[in-house]
Parts: sequence; structure tokens; C-alpha cells
Amino acid sequence: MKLSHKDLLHVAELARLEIPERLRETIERQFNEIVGYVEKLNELDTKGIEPTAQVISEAAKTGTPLAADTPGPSLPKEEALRNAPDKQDDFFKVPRMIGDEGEG
Amino acid sequence: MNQDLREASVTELRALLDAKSVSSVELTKLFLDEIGRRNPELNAFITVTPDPALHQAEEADRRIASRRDVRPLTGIPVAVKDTILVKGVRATAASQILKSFIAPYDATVTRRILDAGAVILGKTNCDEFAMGSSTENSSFGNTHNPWNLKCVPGGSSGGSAAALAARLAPLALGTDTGGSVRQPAAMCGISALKPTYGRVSRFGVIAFASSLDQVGPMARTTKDVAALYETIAGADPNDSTCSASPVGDLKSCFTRDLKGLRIGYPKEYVPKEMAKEVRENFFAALKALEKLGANVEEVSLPHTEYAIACYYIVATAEASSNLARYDGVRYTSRAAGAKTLRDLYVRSRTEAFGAEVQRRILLGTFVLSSGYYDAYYRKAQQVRTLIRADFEKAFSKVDVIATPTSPTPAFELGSKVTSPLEMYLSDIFTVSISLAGLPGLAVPSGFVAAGLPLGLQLVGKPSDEVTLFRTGHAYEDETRYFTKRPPA
Repeated sequence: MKLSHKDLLHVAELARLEIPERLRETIERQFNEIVGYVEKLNELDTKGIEPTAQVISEAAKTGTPLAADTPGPSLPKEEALRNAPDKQDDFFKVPRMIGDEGEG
Repeated sequence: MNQDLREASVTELRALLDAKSVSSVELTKLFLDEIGRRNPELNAFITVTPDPALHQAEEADRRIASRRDVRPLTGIPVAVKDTILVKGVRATAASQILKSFIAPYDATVTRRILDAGAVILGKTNCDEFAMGSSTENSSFGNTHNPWNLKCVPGGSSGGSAAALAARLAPLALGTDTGGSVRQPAAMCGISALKPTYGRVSRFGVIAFASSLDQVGPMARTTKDVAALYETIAGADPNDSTCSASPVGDLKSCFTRDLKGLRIGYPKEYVPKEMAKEVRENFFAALKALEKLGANVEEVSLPHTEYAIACYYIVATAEASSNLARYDGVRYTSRAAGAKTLRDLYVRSRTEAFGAEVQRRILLGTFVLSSGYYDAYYRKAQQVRTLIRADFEKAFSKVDVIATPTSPTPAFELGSKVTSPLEMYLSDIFTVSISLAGLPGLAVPSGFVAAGLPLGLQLVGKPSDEVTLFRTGHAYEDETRYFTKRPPA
């Protein structure tokens, strides 16, 4: 299938990315070339084949290992905030946007 | 003496350090000096960490002097790919979105090598978020192949591979999702292992594709790869995909005898179109393995031609999810002047992610999106089952599967950047192994006429790294390509 300009815009919005107008044609072409290539998988009859999500056979036998519910040390607040683009006290700071349009 | 030290194996360095013929501080300074001399033209390192390195070296020297808890890696310098966290050191994943990110904790693999007394020289260059096969997708500039500066070092762990080839470090860590330690190893004439999925913890490793990523030890010889592997492998409560099965006997596998070993080469990996030099090199490698006592036969992996399509659906889908966290809010760069939440997300990401990363996020988002999920993602997961089954069937007849690592030697910088699909197709020999979760070891297999290295890939049964080390060591001991050095 070939994605239209509208399709690609929708995918970009889902991914929270913007395709600049001057690159739109190139990106659309490259994208459709790749999608066209991966459609090769349609040559294969996969009826009844189980999908593989995980390649650990151990997990398949025992299920997902869970940690005991015991509290322990975690990343200190100062460390967690160290790389914040903007912060105040113990908080990450973001532009005021509650009540504004386009809430993400 | 200095040149010899930079040439020495981990075993040799261990002996010299323990005999006090050289100190870890002297050794570390030696490598730091060489990095200072050569990194401007190679760009193998994004960040060099001389002060922490010298502190670690001093600590190692104290440990060696007191003879307490001296381990194989104590005092030995290591280069670490910039997708692996080292606490207090910048970790960029070669991306502008993390250009100022200081790691708040150590990756498990980092913790393990530091506990063993190793010395971390710095963080190496790579394709952005490990997405690429040439290190040309780095936002910190290209890395140049020490064998020919006009050529790529391979990718995505190109910085680590180039550092080893140029003798800027004796050991390195990389990560491998679809071939990212094996292919640069082949292109730079060094050795690297992608462990069985789940052998090495991914905690503290910047994620690309969670069902494929593995940290890979890299070095100039199989024995050195094994020493680094032994230090980092093993169960980790911080990674629930990390296996508890024992790493196996890594002491007695280094014989020169391959008698009784059954090696298969897949006919799909030697297609007619393959470059003559690569084909001849591969068949010469098979002959050398036979000379060492192995039995070599042809096998078949019928779904090989679908592996790239399968990989680029599965890996990009997982990447689109893993990279959603880079949102301009908590620890990334942030676009200035955003007035809405959507703008904050969109502009922070669009302005700071490179083109290839954005392309893969878009592709991954598409194949997971409503209406397309079954046709693409679920289909790819079913094909993954078929690819795994191919290997299972082949391994009922052989112990090791041998293949070329790359269809070409290192190509020229800039020669493939206009066609993303063409770049993807160069992963053909490595992606199936990742999809099946199997271990793969790349070892140098010689050179083409133009002087560029080629690599042999050895693939093993799940958790059978020991057989790969046995095979790789015997082969390299016989052929000794690792002794050849690129031009200084």
C-alpha cells in the first residue's frame, strides 16, 4: 500500500513528530519505499503460526519473574531532577498549559 | 615498549600488571595519550574521561599491590559505547536530545566491570540511538575506519570498533540489535560477540528494541572477548529478561582442536550476487575450519530473504515505543517557547532527533497503528517464529552455523546515505540471528585486495557461547589475522 500525505501526517501526529514541508516529498517517498519493501512478508503463508514476542524460552516456561514487594533504596530526588530542562523545588517545571487549547 | 603495551592481550596485560612491570596508571596514561593523539582524526570517542579513569587506575594499582580480589580485568582499560550509562558521565546515545544528559546511575554492565577493577577511558561514538550500520547517523560526527580513513567503521558500535582497531583501548563494550557489534567488528578487523538474548543485563542500556538488544563485548581476540563476557554476563534482578543459566566453562574451551565439531553454512548466505572477494574469503575460512578438524556441510535457512523486512518491522515498532520517553519534559533537551503540551512534545522531538531516528519512529508507529497492526506487526512476529524454526532445524544437524558477517567490506563515507533501504539491506547476514535470539561471534577472516578487513560470523545454539569461543579461538590462532595492524 502507498501512504498518502494525510496518512503520513496522521502517523507523525501519533509519534509527536513534525515533517517539515520542504522535506515532505522525500520523506514520503523514502517511507513508501520502505513500506513497499516490508510488504514482502505477504508472500508467506503464516496461517496458524504463533507470533513470537519474546525469544527467551525460560520465560515461556515460568512466566514473568516478579520481584518481592519489599521497599528498598531508589533514585534520590536530586539525581532524578539533575537533567531537568527546567525545575523548581522538587518538581519538573513545564510551560503553563492547563486550560490552553491543544493539550497534547 | 609502549607500542607493545597497546598491542598486548588482556592475559599479557594481567601478567605485566601483577608482576608490577607496568602499573594501571601508566597503562591508562598510555591509552589516554594515544586517544589524544588519534581521536581528532578518527572521532572514535564522544567523551573521554581522564580524571575518573586515573582514579580507577590508582584504585586498581592499590588492589594489585595488596593482592586482594585481583580479577582478570583489574587495572585494564575499557572503552564504553555511549548508549551504556556510566554514572556521572554524559550519555548522549549520539543524539542531540541527550547532548547534556548526565547518567544518574551505572548500567549493570558498567557496575560489573568497575567492580572487577577495570578502568573506563570514555564513551564511544555510535549511530544515534544505535540505529544504523555505519556510525554516519551520529549527531557528533562520523567515525573514520582506522584501516582507511575515507571509509566507515561500520555501525552502530563504530566508535568502539575503531578504538580497538587503532589500539586506543584493549577492550570495549558495544550493543547489538541487528548486527551492531558484529558488523563493525568485521569492518574493523576485530572480534565481537552478540550474546544469546538474555545473557547480559540491559539495565542502564539506552533501549532501541527491547526483544533484540544485547550488550556485546568487543576486543581483538576471542579470548579477550570471553574475559569481558565473563565479567558482564549473568542474572540481574534489575532486568527480568536476563537469564540465570550459568555462563559455562570458559577456561578449557581454548584448545586448537575442532575435531568432532559439525559446522553448517547456509546456502542462502552465499548468493550468486555476492562479491567474489567476499565469497572467496568465506570459503577459505571454511577450509581453515576443516583443517582444524571440523566437519563442514551445507545447510538451509529458507526464510532468510524475509529477515530484513521482519527485522525492520519488529525493531522499529519496539523503538517507537522506547523512544516515546524522550519528550522534552524530564531529562532531554527542550524546545524553547512551546505554548501547548503538544508543541512541547512535537518540537522538542523534531528539533533534536536525527533524520534516521525519526524515520524509524514513524515506521514503527505506522506498523503498530490501528488498522495496520495485524497486517504488519503481527505478521512480522509470525515470520519471526518461522525464522527461529529454521535455525532450530539446522541446529539438529550441526553445532555451529558459519556465515560471512557483511556482504561487503567497509564502504566509503557518504556512499549509502541517500538510500535508507540500501543501508538496511547490508544487515542481511546479521539480523536473522538477532530475531532468533541466538549468540553470534564475529572474528577477523582476512582482507580484501584494497586492504580492508572482512569477518567470519559464527552462530551458536541458545546459550552455547562456549562452543563459539572454542571455534573462534582455534580459527584465529590458526589464521592470526588479529596480529595485522592498520597504518599508524
